[in-house]
Amino acid sequence: MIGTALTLTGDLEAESAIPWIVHRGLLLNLDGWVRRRGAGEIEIALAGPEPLVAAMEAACSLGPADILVEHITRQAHDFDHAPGRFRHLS
Amino acid sequence: MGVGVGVRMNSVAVGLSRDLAPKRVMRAVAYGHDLAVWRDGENGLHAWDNRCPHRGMRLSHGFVRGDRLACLYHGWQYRKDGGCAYIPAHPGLEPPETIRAQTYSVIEKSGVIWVSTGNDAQGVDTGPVSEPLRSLTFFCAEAIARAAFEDTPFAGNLPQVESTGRLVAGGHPVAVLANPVTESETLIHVLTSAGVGIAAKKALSRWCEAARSVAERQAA
Amino acid sequence: MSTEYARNDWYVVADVNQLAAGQVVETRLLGQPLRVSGSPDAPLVTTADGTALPAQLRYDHIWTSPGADPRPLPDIAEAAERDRTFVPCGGVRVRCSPLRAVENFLDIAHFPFVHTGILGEEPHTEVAPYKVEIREDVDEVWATQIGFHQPQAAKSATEAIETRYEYRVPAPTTAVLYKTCPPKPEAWDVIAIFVQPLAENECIAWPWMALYDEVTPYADLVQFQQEIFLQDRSILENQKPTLLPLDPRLEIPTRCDLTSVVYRRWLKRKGATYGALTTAA
Repeated sequence: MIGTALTLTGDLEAESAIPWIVHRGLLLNLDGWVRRRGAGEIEIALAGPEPLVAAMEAACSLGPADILVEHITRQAHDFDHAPGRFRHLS
Repeated sequence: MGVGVGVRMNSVAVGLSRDLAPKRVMRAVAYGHDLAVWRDGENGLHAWDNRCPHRGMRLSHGFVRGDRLACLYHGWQYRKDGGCAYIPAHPGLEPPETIRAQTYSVIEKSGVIWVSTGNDAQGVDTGPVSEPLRSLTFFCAEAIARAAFEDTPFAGNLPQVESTGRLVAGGHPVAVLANPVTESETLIHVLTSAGVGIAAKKALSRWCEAARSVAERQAA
Repeated sequence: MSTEYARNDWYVVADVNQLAAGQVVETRLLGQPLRVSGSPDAPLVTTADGTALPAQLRYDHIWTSPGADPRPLPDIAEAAERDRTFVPCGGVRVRCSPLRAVENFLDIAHFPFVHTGILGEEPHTEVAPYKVEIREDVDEVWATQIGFHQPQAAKSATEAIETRYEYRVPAPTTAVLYKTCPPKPEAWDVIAIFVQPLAENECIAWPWMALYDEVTPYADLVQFQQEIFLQDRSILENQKPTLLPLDPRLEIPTRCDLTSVVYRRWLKRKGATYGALTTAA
Protein backbone atom coordinates (compact mmCIF):
# COMPACT_ATOMS: atom_id res chain seq x y z
CA MET A 1 0.00 0.00 0.00
CA ILE A 2 1.06 3.59 -0.64
CA GLY A 3 1.52 5.86 2.36
CA THR A 4 3.52 8.99 3.12
CA ALA A 5 7.16 9.40 4.12
CA LEU A 6 8.27 12.46 6.09
CA THR A 7 11.95 13.22 6.50
CA LEU A 8 12.94 15.65 9.25
CA THR A 9 16.35 17.27 9.27
CA GLY A 10 17.85 19.73 11.70
CA ASP A 11 18.97 19.74 15.33
CA LEU A 12 17.21 16.50 16.29
CA GLU A 13 19.61 14.75 18.66
CA ALA A 14 17.58 15.19 21.87
CA GLU A 15 16.26 11.89 23.27
CA SER A 16 12.81 13.44 23.57
CA ALA A 17 12.36 13.49 19.78
CA ILE A 18 11.36 9.87 19.08
CA PRO A 19 8.97 9.39 22.06
CA TRP A 20 7.35 12.72 21.18
CA ILE A 21 6.77 11.65 17.59
CA VAL A 22 5.42 8.24 18.67
CA HIS A 23 2.99 9.98 21.07
CA ARG A 24 1.77 12.23 18.23
CA GLY A 25 1.35 9.32 15.82
CA LEU A 26 -0.80 7.48 18.37
CA LEU A 27 -2.75 10.64 19.26
CA LEU A 28 -3.65 11.00 15.58
CA ASN A 29 -4.41 7.27 15.35
CA LEU A 30 -2.02 6.78 12.45
CA ASP A 31 -0.33 3.60 11.29
CA GLY A 32 3.36 3.45 10.51
CA TRP A 33 6.69 4.00 12.18
CA VAL A 34 9.51 6.40 13.03
CA ARG A 35 13.25 5.76 13.03
CA ARG A 36 16.50 7.65 13.26
CA ARG A 37 18.63 7.80 10.17
CA GLY A 38 21.59 9.62 11.70
CA ALA A 39 22.26 12.38 14.17
CA GLY A 40 20.39 15.05 12.24
CA GLU A 41 17.75 13.04 10.39
CA ILE A 42 14.53 11.26 11.36
CA GLU A 43 12.37 9.25 8.98
CA ILE A 44 8.64 8.76 9.46
CA ALA A 45 6.37 6.50 7.39
CA LEU A 46 2.62 7.00 7.74
CA ALA A 47 -0.69 5.61 6.62
CA GLY A 48 -4.01 7.25 7.43
CA PRO A 49 -6.51 9.89 6.30
CA GLU A 50 -4.84 12.85 4.56
CA PRO A 51 -5.95 15.52 7.11
CA LEU A 52 -4.36 13.47 9.91
CA VAL A 53 -1.16 12.91 7.93
CA ALA A 54 -1.06 16.68 7.38
CA ALA A 55 -1.64 17.21 11.13
CA MET A 56 1.28 14.86 11.85
CA GLU A 57 3.48 16.84 9.50
CA ALA A 58 2.44 20.14 11.15
CA ALA A 59 3.07 18.87 14.69
CA CYS A 60 6.40 17.23 13.86
CA SER A 61 7.70 20.36 12.12
CA LEU A 62 7.60 21.97 15.58
CA GLY A 63 8.23 18.98 17.82
CA PRO A 64 9.39 18.99 21.45
CA ALA A 65 11.07 22.03 23.01
CA ASP A 66 14.63 20.71 22.72
CA ILE A 67 14.74 19.95 19.00
CA LEU A 68 14.74 22.28 16.01
CA VAL A 69 13.40 21.01 12.70
CA GLU A 70 15.09 22.91 9.87
CA HIS A 71 13.45 21.08 6.98
CA ILE A 72 10.67 18.59 6.51
CA THR A 73 10.18 16.83 3.19
CA ARG A 74 7.27 14.70 2.12
CA GLN A 75 7.00 11.96 -0.47
CA ALA A 76 5.11 8.76 -1.19
CA HIS A 77 6.11 5.65 0.74
CA ASP A 78 5.42 2.12 -0.46
CA PHE A 79 4.65 -0.17 2.48
CA ASP A 80 5.46 -3.84 1.76
CA HIS A 81 2.64 -4.93 4.08
CA ALA A 82 0.09 -3.31 6.40
CA PRO A 83 2.16 -1.10 8.68
CA GLY A 84 0.20 -1.51 11.93
CA ARG A 85 -0.14 0.88 14.85
CA PHE A 86 2.38 3.73 14.86
CA ARG A 87 5.59 2.76 16.64
CA HIS A 88 9.31 3.27 17.00
CA LEU A 89 11.26 1.10 14.57
CA SER A 90 14.61 0.62 16.29
CA MET B 1 -17.79 20.53 60.42
CA GLY B 2 -20.84 20.20 58.17
CA VAL B 3 -21.75 17.37 55.87
CA GLY B 4 -19.08 14.81 55.26
CA VAL B 5 -17.71 14.39 58.77
CA GLY B 6 -16.20 10.96 59.09
CA VAL B 7 -17.11 10.16 55.49
CA ARG B 8 -14.30 9.49 53.03
CA MET B 9 -15.19 12.15 50.47
CA ASN B 10 -14.37 11.33 46.87
CA SER B 11 -16.48 14.10 45.36
CA VAL B 12 -16.84 17.81 45.72
CA ALA B 13 -19.89 20.07 45.34
CA VAL B 14 -19.09 22.25 42.32
CA GLY B 15 -22.48 23.90 41.87
CA LEU B 16 -26.23 23.71 42.21
CA SER B 17 -28.35 21.70 39.77
CA ARG B 18 -30.80 24.59 39.35
CA ASP B 19 -28.01 26.92 38.20
CA LEU B 20 -27.27 24.85 35.08
CA ALA B 21 -30.08 24.76 32.53
CA PRO B 22 -30.18 22.27 29.65
CA LYS B 23 -27.77 23.11 26.78
CA ARG B 24 -25.73 25.44 28.99
CA VAL B 25 -22.09 25.35 30.07
CA MET B 26 -20.54 26.68 33.26
CA ARG B 27 -17.07 26.94 34.68
CA ALA B 28 -16.31 25.12 37.93
CA VAL B 29 -13.38 24.01 40.04
CA ALA B 30 -12.82 20.60 41.67
CA TYR B 31 -9.69 19.77 43.63
CA GLY B 32 -7.84 22.57 41.88
CA HIS B 33 -8.87 21.42 38.39
CA ASP B 34 -10.49 23.99 36.08
CA LEU B 35 -13.68 22.37 34.71
CA ALA B 36 -16.34 22.92 32.07
CA VAL B 37 -19.62 21.49 33.36
CA TRP B 38 -22.41 21.22 30.80
CA ARG B 39 -25.85 19.78 30.15
CA ASP B 40 -26.82 18.22 26.86
CA GLY B 41 -30.25 18.62 25.26
CA GLU B 42 -31.60 15.60 27.19
CA ASN B 43 -30.55 17.10 30.54
CA GLY B 44 -27.52 14.78 30.82
CA LEU B 45 -24.70 16.24 32.88
CA HIS B 46 -21.00 16.27 31.96
CA ALA B 47 -17.83 17.59 33.65
CA TRP B 48 -14.68 17.96 31.55
CA ASP B 49 -11.22 19.41 31.82
CA ASN B 50 -11.76 23.04 30.85
CA ARG B 51 -9.47 22.98 27.85
CA CYS B 52 -10.05 22.22 24.20
CA PRO B 53 -7.30 19.79 23.10
CA HIS B 54 -6.95 21.68 19.81
CA ARG B 55 -5.52 25.04 20.95
CA GLY B 56 -6.17 25.20 24.71
CA MET B 57 -9.33 27.35 24.73
CA ARG B 58 -11.54 27.07 27.82
CA LEU B 59 -14.50 24.86 26.87
CA SER B 60 -16.66 26.67 29.46
CA HIS B 61 -16.94 29.44 26.84
CA GLY B 62 -18.25 26.91 24.32
CA PHE B 63 -21.78 26.15 23.18
CA VAL B 64 -24.00 23.07 23.22
CA ARG B 65 -25.50 21.69 20.01
CA GLY B 66 -27.81 18.76 20.67
CA ASP B 67 -25.73 16.20 22.51
CA ARG B 68 -22.37 17.80 21.72
CA LEU B 69 -20.23 20.52 23.29
CA ALA B 70 -18.48 22.81 20.79
CA CYS B 71 -15.44 24.97 21.47
CA LEU B 72 -16.02 28.68 20.85
CA TYR B 73 -12.65 29.21 19.15
CA HIS B 74 -12.74 26.90 16.12
CA GLY B 75 -15.99 25.05 16.68
CA TRP B 76 -14.50 21.59 17.34
CA GLN B 77 -17.40 19.41 18.54
CA TYR B 78 -17.17 16.73 21.23
CA ARG B 79 -19.60 13.89 21.97
CA LYS B 80 -20.91 13.13 25.47
CA ASP B 81 -18.10 10.62 25.98
CA GLY B 82 -15.52 13.35 25.25
CA GLY B 83 -14.59 12.03 21.80
CA CYS B 84 -14.13 14.60 19.06
CA ALA B 85 -16.98 14.30 16.54
CA TYR B 86 -16.36 17.13 14.08
CA ILE B 87 -13.64 19.58 13.04
CA PRO B 88 -15.31 22.39 11.02
CA ALA B 89 -12.11 23.45 9.21
CA HIS B 90 -11.84 19.88 7.85
CA PRO B 91 -15.50 18.86 7.40
CA GLY B 92 -14.67 15.71 5.42
CA LEU B 93 -12.58 14.20 8.21
CA GLU B 94 -13.99 11.70 10.66
CA PRO B 95 -11.86 12.48 13.74
CA PRO B 96 -10.25 9.40 15.33
CA GLU B 97 -11.33 8.16 18.76
CA THR B 98 -7.93 9.19 20.11
CA ILE B 99 -8.77 12.92 19.89
CA ARG B 100 -10.83 13.62 22.99
CA ALA B 101 -11.57 16.01 25.80
CA GLN B 102 -10.64 14.77 29.27
CA THR B 103 -13.75 13.78 31.20
CA TYR B 104 -14.46 13.57 34.91
CA SER B 105 -17.05 11.61 36.83
CA VAL B 106 -20.09 13.73 37.77
CA ILE B 107 -23.49 13.10 39.39
CA GLU B 108 -26.39 15.07 40.81
CA LYS B 109 -27.62 14.38 44.31
CA SER B 110 -29.67 16.53 46.69
CA GLY B 111 -29.90 19.29 44.07
CA VAL B 112 -26.12 19.56 43.94
CA ILE B 113 -23.60 18.78 41.17
CA TRP B 114 -20.77 16.58 42.47
CA VAL B 115 -17.52 15.93 40.63
CA SER B 116 -14.82 13.38 41.29
CA THR B 117 -11.37 13.27 39.77
CA GLY B 118 -11.60 9.48 40.10
CA ASN B 119 -14.16 7.49 38.17
CA ASP B 120 -16.99 7.21 40.68
CA ALA B 121 -18.47 10.51 41.84
CA GLN B 122 -20.86 9.75 44.68
CA GLY B 123 -21.83 13.00 46.38
CA VAL B 124 -23.61 13.20 49.68
CA ASP B 125 -27.27 12.52 50.30
CA THR B 126 -28.41 15.44 52.45
CA GLY B 127 -31.86 13.86 52.82
CA PRO B 128 -34.69 16.36 53.12
CA VAL B 129 -32.14 19.17 53.52
CA SER B 130 -31.84 19.79 49.79
CA GLU B 131 -33.29 23.23 49.23
CA PRO B 132 -30.54 25.62 48.04
CA LEU B 133 -30.28 28.65 50.32
CA ARG B 134 -27.09 30.49 49.36
CA SER B 135 -23.86 30.01 47.43
CA LEU B 136 -21.01 32.16 48.74
CA THR B 137 -17.30 32.52 48.20
CA PHE B 138 -15.24 32.65 51.40
CA PHE B 139 -11.72 34.03 51.05
CA CYS B 140 -10.16 31.54 53.44
CA ALA B 141 -9.19 27.88 53.62
CA GLU B 142 -11.89 25.21 53.63
CA ALA B 143 -11.36 24.18 57.29
CA ILE B 144 -11.73 27.76 58.51
CA ALA B 145 -14.88 28.21 56.42
CA ARG B 146 -16.48 25.05 57.80
CA ALA B 147 -15.55 25.87 61.41
CA ALA B 148 -16.99 29.38 61.08
CA PHE B 149 -20.52 27.99 60.66
CA GLU B 150 -20.25 26.18 64.00
CA ASP B 151 -18.76 29.25 65.69
CA THR B 152 -21.30 31.80 64.47
CA PRO B 153 -24.38 32.28 66.67
CA PHE B 154 -27.84 32.29 65.12
CA ALA B 155 -30.26 34.47 67.15
CA GLY B 156 -27.85 34.40 70.07
CA ASN B 157 -27.24 30.65 70.15
CA LEU B 158 -24.53 28.55 68.55
CA PRO B 159 -25.92 25.99 66.10
CA GLN B 160 -26.12 22.35 67.15
CA VAL B 161 -24.06 19.79 65.28
CA GLU B 162 -26.00 16.61 64.45
CA SER B 163 -24.46 13.15 64.20
CA THR B 164 -24.99 13.32 60.40
CA GLY B 165 -22.72 16.34 60.30
CA ARG B 166 -25.64 18.65 59.54
CA LEU B 167 -26.24 21.76 61.63
CA VAL B 168 -29.39 23.02 63.25
CA ALA B 169 -29.51 26.81 63.47
CA GLY B 170 -32.49 28.35 65.28
CA GLY B 171 -34.34 25.07 64.82
CA HIS B 172 -33.71 25.03 61.03
CA PRO B 173 -31.70 22.16 59.51
CA VAL B 174 -28.71 23.30 57.45
CA ALA B 175 -26.17 21.45 55.29
CA VAL B 176 -22.92 23.26 54.51
CA LEU B 177 -21.05 21.98 51.44
CA ALA B 178 -17.54 23.30 50.94
CA ASN B 179 -15.49 23.27 47.74
CA PRO B 180 -11.86 24.32 48.23
CA VAL B 181 -11.10 26.37 45.11
CA THR B 182 -7.61 27.34 46.28
CA GLU B 183 -5.77 27.39 49.64
CA SER B 184 -7.35 30.76 50.35
CA GLU B 185 -10.71 30.58 48.56
CA THR B 186 -13.61 28.27 49.35
CA LEU B 187 -16.91 28.03 47.54
CA ILE B 188 -19.73 27.30 49.99
CA HIS B 189 -23.18 25.95 49.14
CA VAL B 190 -25.70 26.10 51.97
CA LEU B 191 -28.84 23.96 51.82
CA THR B 192 -31.84 23.86 54.11
CA SER B 193 -35.16 22.00 54.02
CA ALA B 194 -38.01 22.89 51.74
CA GLY B 195 -40.37 23.65 54.63
CA VAL B 196 -38.39 26.62 55.93
CA GLY B 197 -40.30 29.88 55.45
CA ILE B 198 -39.18 33.08 53.77
CA ALA B 199 -38.46 34.97 57.00
CA ALA B 200 -36.34 32.12 58.35
CA LYS B 201 -34.48 31.85 55.02
CA LYS B 202 -33.64 35.54 55.20
CA ALA B 203 -32.36 35.10 58.75
CA LEU B 204 -30.30 32.05 57.71
CA SER B 205 -28.93 33.99 54.77
CA ARG B 206 -27.71 36.77 57.10
CA TRP B 207 -26.23 34.10 59.36
CA CYS B 208 -24.23 32.75 56.38
CA GLU B 209 -22.86 36.24 55.79
CA ALA B 210 -21.94 36.51 59.48
CA ALA B 211 -20.12 33.18 59.22
CA ARG B 212 -18.22 34.53 56.23
CA SER B 213 -17.14 37.57 58.26
CA VAL B 214 -15.98 35.30 61.11
CA ALA B 215 -14.03 33.09 58.70
CA GLU B 216 -12.40 35.90 56.75
CA ARG B 217 -11.44 37.74 59.98
CA GLN B 218 -9.76 34.60 61.22
CA ALA B 219 -7.95 34.07 57.90
CA ALA B 220 -6.74 37.68 57.71
CA MET C 1 12.16 34.51 30.82
CA SER C 2 14.58 36.29 28.56
CA THR C 3 14.23 39.71 26.96
CA GLU C 4 17.51 39.24 25.12
CA TYR C 5 15.96 38.95 21.67
CA ALA C 6 12.93 41.11 22.43
CA ARG C 7 14.89 44.16 23.62
CA ASN C 8 16.17 44.89 20.13
CA ASP C 9 12.79 45.07 18.40
CA TRP C 10 10.73 48.23 17.97
CA TYR C 11 7.38 48.51 19.77
CA VAL C 12 4.37 50.80 19.63
CA VAL C 13 3.84 52.54 22.97
CA ALA C 14 1.22 55.16 22.01
CA ASP C 15 -0.73 56.33 18.97
CA VAL C 16 -0.53 59.67 17.21
CA ASN C 17 -3.94 60.77 18.48
CA GLN C 18 -2.81 60.58 22.10
CA LEU C 19 0.18 62.86 21.60
CA ALA C 20 -1.78 65.19 19.29
CA ALA C 21 -4.24 65.63 22.17
CA GLY C 22 -1.37 66.57 24.46
CA GLN C 23 -1.54 63.43 26.57
CA VAL C 24 1.36 62.14 28.64
CA VAL C 25 1.08 58.35 28.47
CA GLU C 26 2.29 56.25 31.41
CA THR C 27 2.74 52.72 30.16
CA ARG C 28 5.01 49.66 30.30
CA LEU C 29 7.20 47.78 27.87
CA LEU C 30 8.71 44.33 28.55
CA GLY C 31 7.82 44.79 32.23
CA GLN C 32 9.47 48.21 32.61
CA PRO C 33 7.54 51.46 33.19
CA LEU C 34 7.78 54.09 30.44
CA ARG C 35 6.52 57.61 29.89
CA VAL C 36 5.53 58.82 26.42
CA SER C 37 5.21 62.58 25.94
CA GLY C 38 6.02 65.30 23.46
CA SER C 39 4.31 65.92 20.12
CA PRO C 40 3.69 63.53 17.22
CA ASP C 41 6.63 65.04 15.33
CA ALA C 42 8.96 65.11 18.34
CA PRO C 43 7.93 62.22 20.59
CA LEU C 44 9.78 61.57 23.82
CA VAL C 45 9.99 58.14 25.48
CA THR C 46 11.67 57.96 28.89
CA THR C 47 12.29 55.17 31.39
CA ALA C 48 11.61 55.39 35.15
CA ASP C 49 15.09 56.78 35.80
CA GLY C 50 14.65 59.47 33.17
CA THR C 51 16.75 57.85 30.43
CA ALA C 52 15.50 58.78 26.97
CA LEU C 53 14.89 55.86 24.59
CA PRO C 54 14.88 56.25 20.81
CA ALA C 55 11.43 57.29 19.61
CA GLN C 56 9.88 57.68 16.17
CA LEU C 57 6.53 58.23 14.53
CA ARG C 58 5.67 55.50 11.98
CA TYR C 59 2.30 54.27 10.72
CA ASP C 60 0.45 56.77 12.94
CA HIS C 61 2.01 55.29 16.10
CA ILE C 62 4.90 56.15 18.41
CA TRP C 63 7.57 53.43 18.38
CA THR C 64 10.49 52.81 20.71
CA SER C 65 13.13 50.16 21.38
CA PRO C 66 14.90 49.55 24.70
CA GLY C 67 17.78 47.64 23.10
CA ALA C 68 21.33 48.80 22.43
CA ASP C 69 21.26 47.66 18.81
CA PRO C 70 17.71 47.64 17.48
CA ARG C 71 16.85 45.74 14.30
CA PRO C 72 15.18 47.90 11.61
CA LEU C 73 11.53 48.80 12.16
CA PRO C 74 9.50 46.71 9.67
CA ASP C 75 8.75 48.48 6.41
CA ILE C 76 5.14 48.58 5.24
CA ALA C 77 5.34 49.98 1.71
CA GLU C 78 1.61 50.74 1.46
CA ALA C 79 2.03 53.46 4.10
CA ALA C 80 3.49 55.62 1.33
CA GLU C 81 0.45 55.26 -0.96
CA ARG C 82 -1.30 58.60 -0.69
CA ASP C 83 -4.70 57.44 -1.98
CA ARG C 84 -5.20 55.12 0.99
CA THR C 85 -7.07 56.03 4.18
CA PHE C 86 -4.89 55.42 7.25
CA VAL C 87 -6.69 54.42 10.40
CA PRO C 88 -5.01 53.95 13.78
CA CYS C 89 -7.71 52.08 15.71
CA GLY C 90 -6.56 52.71 19.28
CA GLY C 91 -5.21 50.12 21.69
CA VAL C 92 -7.01 47.07 23.06
CA ARG C 93 -5.49 45.80 26.30
CA VAL C 94 -5.49 42.01 26.57
CA ARG C 95 -4.38 39.79 29.44
CA CYS C 96 -2.50 37.32 27.29
CA SER C 97 0.97 36.72 25.91
CA PRO C 98 1.84 39.22 23.16
CA LEU C 99 2.73 36.24 20.97
CA ARG C 100 -0.75 34.75 21.43
CA ALA C 101 -2.26 38.03 20.22
CA VAL C 102 -0.19 37.79 17.03
CA GLU C 103 -0.96 34.09 16.58
CA ASN C 104 -4.70 34.78 16.80
CA PHE C 105 -4.37 37.57 14.21
CA LEU C 106 -2.89 34.97 11.83
CA ASP C 107 -5.78 32.52 12.33
CA ILE C 108 -8.65 32.23 9.88
CA ALA C 109 -10.43 29.07 11.07
CA HIS C 110 -12.01 30.95 14.00
CA PHE C 111 -13.85 33.50 11.85
CA PRO C 112 -17.20 31.65 11.62
CA PHE C 113 -17.32 31.13 15.40
CA VAL C 114 -15.75 34.25 16.95
CA HIS C 115 -16.61 36.85 14.27
CA THR C 116 -19.92 35.28 13.26
CA GLY C 117 -21.73 37.11 10.48
CA ILE C 118 -18.79 39.47 9.84
CA LEU C 119 -15.60 37.63 8.93
CA GLY C 120 -17.17 34.19 8.65
CA GLU C 121 -20.33 32.15 9.07
CA GLU C 122 -21.39 28.52 9.12
CA PRO C 123 -21.56 26.38 7.06
CA HIS C 124 -18.58 28.05 5.32
CA THR C 125 -16.03 26.69 7.80
CA GLU C 126 -13.68 24.66 5.61
CA VAL C 127 -10.14 25.97 5.33
CA ALA C 128 -8.65 25.09 1.95
CA PRO C 129 -4.93 24.27 1.84
CA TYR C 130 -2.70 27.34 1.72
CA LYS C 131 1.01 28.00 1.67
CA VAL C 132 3.19 29.07 4.61
CA GLU C 133 6.93 29.68 4.48
CA ILE C 134 9.78 31.40 6.25
CA ARG C 135 11.28 33.71 3.62
CA GLU C 136 14.94 33.44 4.48
CA ASP C 137 16.05 36.49 2.45
CA VAL C 138 13.93 38.84 4.56
CA ASP C 139 13.56 36.61 7.66
CA GLU C 140 9.77 36.89 7.64
CA VAL C 141 6.88 34.43 7.89
CA TRP C 142 4.50 34.57 4.92
CA ALA C 143 1.17 32.78 4.49
CA THR C 144 -0.30 33.03 1.02
CA GLN C 145 -3.01 31.59 -1.26
CA ILE C 146 -5.64 31.84 1.49
CA GLY C 147 -9.30 32.13 0.49
CA PHE C 148 -12.29 32.40 2.81
CA HIS C 149 -16.00 33.11 2.51
CA GLN C 150 -16.80 36.33 4.39
CA PRO C 151 -20.27 37.81 5.01
CA GLN C 152 -18.86 41.32 5.60
CA ALA C 153 -15.16 41.36 4.83
CA ALA C 154 -14.85 45.09 5.57
CA LYS C 155 -17.02 48.05 6.49
CA SER C 156 -17.09 48.85 2.77
CA ALA C 157 -18.42 45.40 1.79
CA THR C 158 -22.01 45.29 0.59
CA GLU C 159 -22.34 41.52 0.21
CA ALA C 160 -20.60 38.28 1.14
CA ILE C 161 -17.47 37.68 -0.89
CA GLU C 162 -14.73 35.09 -1.26
CA THR C 163 -11.92 37.06 0.35
CA ARG C 164 -8.28 36.43 -0.45
CA TYR C 165 -5.75 36.81 2.33
CA GLU C 166 -2.00 37.03 2.69
CA TYR C 167 -0.26 37.32 6.03
CA ARG C 168 3.20 38.62 6.69
CA VAL C 169 5.05 38.52 10.03
CA PRO C 170 8.12 40.78 9.83
CA ALA C 171 8.80 40.81 13.60
CA PRO C 172 7.52 38.63 16.50
CA THR C 173 5.02 41.28 17.63
CA THR C 174 4.21 42.86 14.26
CA ALA C 175 1.95 41.24 11.68
CA VAL C 176 0.45 42.54 8.46
CA LEU C 177 -2.61 41.25 6.64
CA TYR C 178 -3.25 41.92 2.97
CA LYS C 179 -6.86 41.17 2.02
CA THR C 180 -9.22 41.69 -0.88
CA CYS C 181 -10.50 45.25 -0.95
CA PRO C 182 -14.30 44.98 -1.54
CA PRO C 183 -14.75 48.21 -3.58
CA LYS C 184 -11.47 47.70 -5.49
CA PRO C 185 -10.96 43.95 -6.01
CA GLU C 186 -7.68 44.35 -7.89
CA ALA C 187 -6.04 45.98 -4.83
CA TRP C 188 -5.26 44.83 -1.30
CA ASP C 189 -6.51 46.42 1.88
CA VAL C 190 -3.79 46.42 4.53
CA ILE C 191 -4.53 45.70 8.20
CA ALA C 192 -1.64 45.47 10.63
CA ILE C 193 -1.42 44.62 14.27
CA PHE C 194 1.32 46.16 16.39
CA VAL C 195 1.51 44.38 19.74
CA GLN C 196 3.01 46.19 22.72
CA PRO C 197 4.26 43.63 25.26
CA LEU C 198 3.47 45.12 28.68
CA ALA C 199 4.67 41.87 30.26
CA GLU C 200 4.91 38.24 29.18
CA ASN C 201 1.24 37.74 30.01
CA GLU C 202 -0.23 41.14 29.15
CA CYS C 203 -0.22 43.28 26.04
CA ILE C 204 -1.87 46.08 24.11
CA ALA C 205 -2.90 45.30 20.52
CA TRP C 206 -2.79 48.37 18.28
CA PRO C 207 -4.62 47.64 15.00
CA TRP C 208 -3.81 49.93 12.09
CA MET C 209 -5.43 49.98 8.66
CA ALA C 210 -4.42 51.36 5.28
CA LEU C 211 -7.58 51.03 3.20
CA TYR C 212 -9.15 52.09 -0.05
CA ASP C 213 -12.32 53.48 1.51
CA GLU C 214 -13.17 57.14 1.04
CA VAL C 215 -16.80 56.70 2.01
CA THR C 216 -17.02 55.22 5.50
CA PRO C 217 -16.64 57.76 8.33
CA TYR C 218 -13.42 57.40 10.31
CA ALA C 219 -15.27 56.61 13.56
CA ASP C 220 -17.14 53.74 11.87
CA LEU C 221 -13.89 52.23 10.54
CA VAL C 222 -12.40 52.34 14.04
CA GLN C 223 -15.51 50.86 15.59
CA PHE C 224 -15.62 47.99 13.05
CA GLN C 225 -12.06 46.98 13.86
CA GLN C 226 -12.43 47.51 17.63
CA GLU C 227 -15.49 45.25 17.67
CA ILE C 228 -13.51 42.48 15.99
CA PHE C 229 -10.63 42.83 18.46
CA LEU C 230 -12.95 42.76 21.46
CA GLN C 231 -14.35 39.46 20.14
CA ASP C 232 -10.79 38.15 19.88
CA ARG C 233 -10.03 39.26 23.43
CA SER C 234 -12.63 36.86 24.86
CA ILE C 235 -10.65 34.05 23.23
CA LEU C 236 -7.17 35.28 24.08
CA GLU C 237 -7.88 35.70 27.79
CA ASN C 238 -9.16 32.13 28.00
CA GLN C 239 -6.46 30.08 26.34
CA LYS C 240 -4.37 27.80 28.51
CA PRO C 241 -1.51 28.06 29.17
CA THR C 242 -1.27 31.86 29.18
CA LEU C 243 2.13 31.81 27.49
CA LEU C 244 2.45 30.56 23.90
CA PRO C 245 3.72 26.95 23.95
CA LEU C 246 6.54 26.38 21.48
CA ASP C 247 6.07 22.64 22.12
CA PRO C 248 2.53 21.68 20.96
CA ARG C 249 2.48 18.44 23.00
CA LEU C 250 -0.84 19.38 24.61
CA GLU C 251 -2.35 20.75 21.41
CA ILE C 252 -3.57 19.23 18.15
CA PRO C 253 -2.61 21.52 15.29
CA THR C 254 -4.07 20.53 11.93
CA ARG C 255 -3.39 21.78 8.42
CA CYS C 256 -5.48 24.92 8.99
CA ASP C 257 -3.14 25.84 11.89
CA LEU C 258 -0.05 25.83 9.69
CA THR C 259 0.56 29.59 10.01
CA SER C 260 0.57 29.21 13.80
CA VAL C 261 2.98 26.27 13.57
CA VAL C 262 5.42 28.06 11.27
CA TYR C 263 5.20 31.25 13.36
CA ARG C 264 6.13 29.24 16.48
CA ARG C 265 8.95 27.46 14.68
CA TRP C 266 10.29 30.82 13.52
CA LEU C 267 10.17 32.20 17.09
CA LYS C 268 11.88 29.08 18.42
CA ARG C 269 14.66 29.28 15.85
CA LYS C 270 15.29 32.96 16.58
CA GLY C 271 15.16 32.52 20.35
CA ALA C 272 12.33 35.07 20.45
CA THR C 273 10.91 33.57 23.62
CA TYR C 274 9.51 36.58 25.50
CA GLY C 275 5.86 35.51 26.06
CA ALA C 276 6.58 31.91 25.05
CA LEU C 277 6.56 28.71 27.03
CA THR C 278 9.83 27.03 26.15
CA THR C 279 9.45 23.88 28.26
CA ALA C 280 6.99 21.06 27.61
CA ALA C 281 3.54 22.45 28.52
